[in-house]
This record gives sequence, structure tokens and C-alpha cells, in this order.
Amino acid sequence: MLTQQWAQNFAVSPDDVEYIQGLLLEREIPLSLEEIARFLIERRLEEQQAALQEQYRGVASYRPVDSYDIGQRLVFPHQDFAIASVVAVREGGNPDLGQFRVIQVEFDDRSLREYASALNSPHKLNDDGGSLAPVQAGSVSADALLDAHRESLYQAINESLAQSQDFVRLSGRWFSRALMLDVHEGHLNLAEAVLDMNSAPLTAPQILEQIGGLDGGTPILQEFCLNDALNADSRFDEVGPLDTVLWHLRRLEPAEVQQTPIWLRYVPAAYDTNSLTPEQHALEREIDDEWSDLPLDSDQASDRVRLILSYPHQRAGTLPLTSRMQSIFPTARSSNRIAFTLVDGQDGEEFAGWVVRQGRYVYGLKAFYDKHRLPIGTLITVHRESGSDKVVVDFLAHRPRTEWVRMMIDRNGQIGFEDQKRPIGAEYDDLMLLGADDQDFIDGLFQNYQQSRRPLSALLKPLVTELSRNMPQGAVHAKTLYSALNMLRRCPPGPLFAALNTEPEFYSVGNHYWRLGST
Amino acid sequence: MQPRPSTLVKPTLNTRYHIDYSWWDRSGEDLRTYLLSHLPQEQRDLLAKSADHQQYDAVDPETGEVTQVDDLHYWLLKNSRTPDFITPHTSLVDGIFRVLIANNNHPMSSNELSTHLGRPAPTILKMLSGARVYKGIRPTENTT
Repeated sequence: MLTQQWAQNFAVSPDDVEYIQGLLLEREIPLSLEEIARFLIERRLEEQQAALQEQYRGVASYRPVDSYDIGQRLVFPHQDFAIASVVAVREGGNPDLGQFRVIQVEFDDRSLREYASALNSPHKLNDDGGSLAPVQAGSVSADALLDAHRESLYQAINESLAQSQDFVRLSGRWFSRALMLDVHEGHLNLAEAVLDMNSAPLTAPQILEQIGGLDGGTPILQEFCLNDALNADSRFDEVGPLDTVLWHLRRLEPAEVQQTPIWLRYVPAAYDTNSLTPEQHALEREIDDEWSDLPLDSDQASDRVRLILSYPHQRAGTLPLTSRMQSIFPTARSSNRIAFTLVDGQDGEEFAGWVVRQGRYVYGLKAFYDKHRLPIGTLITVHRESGSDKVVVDFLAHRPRTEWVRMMIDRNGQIGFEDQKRPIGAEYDDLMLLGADDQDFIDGLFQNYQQSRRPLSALLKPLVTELSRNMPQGAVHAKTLYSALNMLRRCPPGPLFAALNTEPEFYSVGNHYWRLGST
Repeated sequence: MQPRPSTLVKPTLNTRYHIDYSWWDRSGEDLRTYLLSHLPQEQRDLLAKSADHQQYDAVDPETGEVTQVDDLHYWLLKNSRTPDFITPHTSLVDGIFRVLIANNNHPMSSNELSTHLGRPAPTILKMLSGARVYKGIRPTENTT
């Protein structure tokens, strides 16, 4: 295809950059990548059209019915639009065709061929062969080219414009720096006051409405310039989901959003993933820790996710942002923090939620966990509310029943576990179910173990000892160990399983149950 | 050592065939005698009496290109436009040969030949893809 070769390896030339600058100056509005790409494609098609017209200027399209003279240039549409010159003419000889002439033509590759001319008998090229339409119209549209090469086109444009100081980019739109409106300190102070009073994120148009707009410029340009100014000011934080720019005051954001809570901080530990058995990999997938880096299988993608509440998230009032969860919560191209609304699936109460992408968690559930007194191990369900961006968090509630819960206790300064009766009103995973009454003791342990450099096996040894003490077989399940370990140090299942496999003091009794010693 | 892949491609219903005239040079069969057999008796007699072989300008119905043909080819092309050039009584090999003659020896597939001959394409393919080359009808080098 004539018109697609350049689109496949699209390169933005300095001339293109100048053309884009001209477009922005002429229109005085920021242009999206799609708009810029479309302008460039249409420009290329027009240039190509002009080049073709120039190439075929003065060239006649061959038709058997027409007469030609020596020296005349002809194009043969049905032979890849090859061009040739007439070098000889003679009378044709065929009694069935009547009188006609034969022209000898020389193609650009010096080859000679003969063709009928002044032929009065019917021939199909007389009807459609003389048209240069396929070349003149171009064989593809700008839309088709954009659809076929969108990604590479966008990349080429972004890379090229980013190299120039003459352009400003914000939220996928580009504008000329020379035309940026002045957003002075007064505007920014007013924006801060508006956000302060509102205490919830606002869009640039909402802020502009309340501060009386900027001086001059269209509403679109004012929005673009305000967004750019807010982006450059550390007081403001962009917290909108994909394709939405929402502004919030950094100082109004919860501390747990600004900084990852200690209970969620994981320092990646090197371990041999090959040391895990297929069964352990399956258990790791079942636990679905956000730091396990599990790829999302196509059969796992769902608009409703069920997860097991672990201690770090219960303590921090958060949910893990696993690969399965990412499709439910709002995302963004560059914002690290995204504000959205959480809904209590039990009573419909709404509360502010934050997706913290870098920390791999969703903040805002402390009140929810406290209100329903959800223990470690609760089975939580999460789904997007239909027709909105709100996310519903729920659990299977039942009338509170008194259950035996393994509580982590302070045994003379050492870690101990004791089964105690507690009322529980939610479905839970009994292998993960744990509790603690002395929050200060657990917090102290966590801070101590989180910061200490003690190897994982040193933490696991007392846990295996204590947790297996009251078990009928004298062994503890790996899932229970994971749940308990995370009350002391943030750790996904992979390093834990690897430590159990490689350290000689741990002995597997099968079915993910472990105990100390080799017998 | 890795075995080299075969350059032979199994013909399909879309594999195109043409008359390979070089085959006739090697085969020992007389092409002119065979070509004459496609003409009615009176034309054969006329051509047999003609001492000098006149040249005619044949115009390609697709491209308008002119090729010079001798009187035998001229009459073959002329006859190919008559309805009784190919009849149900024409043998399959002769029928294929005549369809190719009528189409200026443009390569044609078994499917395309089938529409001209009214014979099943697999039958045509089975004959053309056998070990024996019939009347120089062979696959073209650039087949689909």
C-alpha cells in the first residue's frame, strides 16, 4: 500500500514540530495526542497526494481505444501504475479486430512491450482501466491509519515534543508555552482556599468557577493553564483517576496516604522461587499477597474479588492492591494517589478512599473494620458499584457467634498464643483467624521485628513452636504461619515458604503443615 | 546436521498451472500436431496447405498487451471464443489445455479451471498433481 509505509515507522520531523506549533498558535487551545496525530496524518496524506499528482503530471492513462504518438508518456494502472514512453507505432494485424495500431513502449527499466491502440473493438480497459483514482484518492483514510498505528504515533509525537522547550504537556494534551496564561500567586492562594473549604478533591473548572477564572483565554485554555500551575506547586496534589484531573491539598490528605503505614512496608527479600513446590505456588496464589507479584491470569479477571483480611491491613485500615484488585479500583497514568469513594456493603455508608499505587494498598477502611469488629482472617468481598466509580466493600455477616480464636499474647515479654472465646459476626478463613487484645504489645513487637535484621527463620522458629503447641498433630499450617508472621513483620508467602523449605530445623508433615525438628 | 526443508510444495486447489512450452521441447512429442488436433478438420486442412506462416497481433483481453502469434495460434484463439471449443465430450486434459490457450496461457488454479470446464476441482487437481506431466501443464513457480 502506497500510503502506509511511512505510517508504520512514523517519525516526527522538525517541519512537523513547526506545523504543530503553528496549529496551537492558530487555535489557541491545547490539543490532545489524538488530535495532533490526526492533523499530522492528514498532512502527510495531502503531501503524498500532491507528490503523486506531480509524478503523474502530463502522463496519460493507457486505454486501448485511444491513439498515442511517439514520445508520449503513459501510465499503466493495471500494471502497478508503471510509466512508459511510446517509442514506435505500427499498424496492427488481426482480421478479427479491424483496423488498429500497435504502440511499442519503453518502461523505466528499459524493457520494451507492445500494446494495442486506436482499437475499436470492445476492451475492458476502455471502461475502467484509464482511472488513476486508486492512486489519487489514497488507499486508506486518516482514521484507518490512526487506528492501525496509534501507539507508535503517540510515542513518536510525545518523544519529539518533549524534546522542545516550546511545548507544555499535561494530562495527555499539548500546548504552546508562548500562549500559556499567567497564573499568579493570588490565583493559587485562592485555589488553596477553595480546596480548603471544600475539603474534597475538585476539578480545575470547579476551582476556576469559584475563584472567578483567570484573565483572558478560553475556558479550555484556562483549565489547562491552571492545571499546569497547580501541578508545579507542592501544596496541590493531583488525585484523579484515569482521564480525570482532580486536585486536593496535600496537607489535607491522610498521613497514611502520604506515607506508607509501617505495617504495610515490605523490604523485598531475595529468595529462590524455584525452591517452592507447585503446591506452595498454588497456596501463594490463594493467599494473594500484594507483594507476591502474581501475574493476573485471564480466568482470574473478575469484577468481584474475594480476599482474606490480614493483620497488616486490618491494623492500617487498608486493603491490598493485588493484580486482581487493580481492575476494580480506579487507576491513573501518573498520579500515585487517587481519591475515590468507598461504600460499606452492609449499610451503604460512604467514606473517602485512596488508592496508593506505589504502596500497593487502598486506604480508608479503618472505620469499616472497627464498626464491624472484623477479625484477622475475615473473608472480604470487593466490587465496583454498577454505573459509578464507587467501590463496595463487604463481607458475609451473620449473627455474632462465640468462637475460639487464637490470640497472640505477651508471655513475660515473649510471644505466646492462647485460644480464647470471642464473638465473631463474619465469615472467615479459619487457618488465618488470629487475634490480639494488647495492641501496644503487638505494635511494639512489630516495630522491633520490622526494623531488626534478624533472619526470617529466627522469627519463624518461636512462631512454629508456639502455634503448633496446642495442635493435635503438633504442627502448624503455612497459612497460619503467614498470618502470624505478618503480625511481627510484613512478609509475603514466597520468602516464608522458601525459609521453611531450606532451613533444616523446619520439618514438613505434609499438606502445608510444619513443625520443628526432623522427627 | 539438520535436514533441509523440501522445496516441493504440495499443490492445492489454489495452485496455479500453465502450459510450460519448454516441456514440449524435451518431451519428444510434436506440439504443432497436438495444437492442430484442437482445430476442426477444415481449418487443419487450410493450415496444412498454407506454405508461409503468417503472423497476427493478439490483444490480451485483460491488459491490452499485444503478442505476435503464428497462424496456428491465431486460429486456436479464434476457435477458443466459439461455444463448441470445449464440450462435455472433450477429454479432461484437452479441456484444461484449451482453457489455458483461450486465456493466453495465464496461470489458472484447479478451482478456476473447474468453473470453465464444469468438472470438479479436486478431480482436476488430482490429475495435475500426479507424477506425470500432461501436455506440459505444470504449476507456475509462484503459486498461492
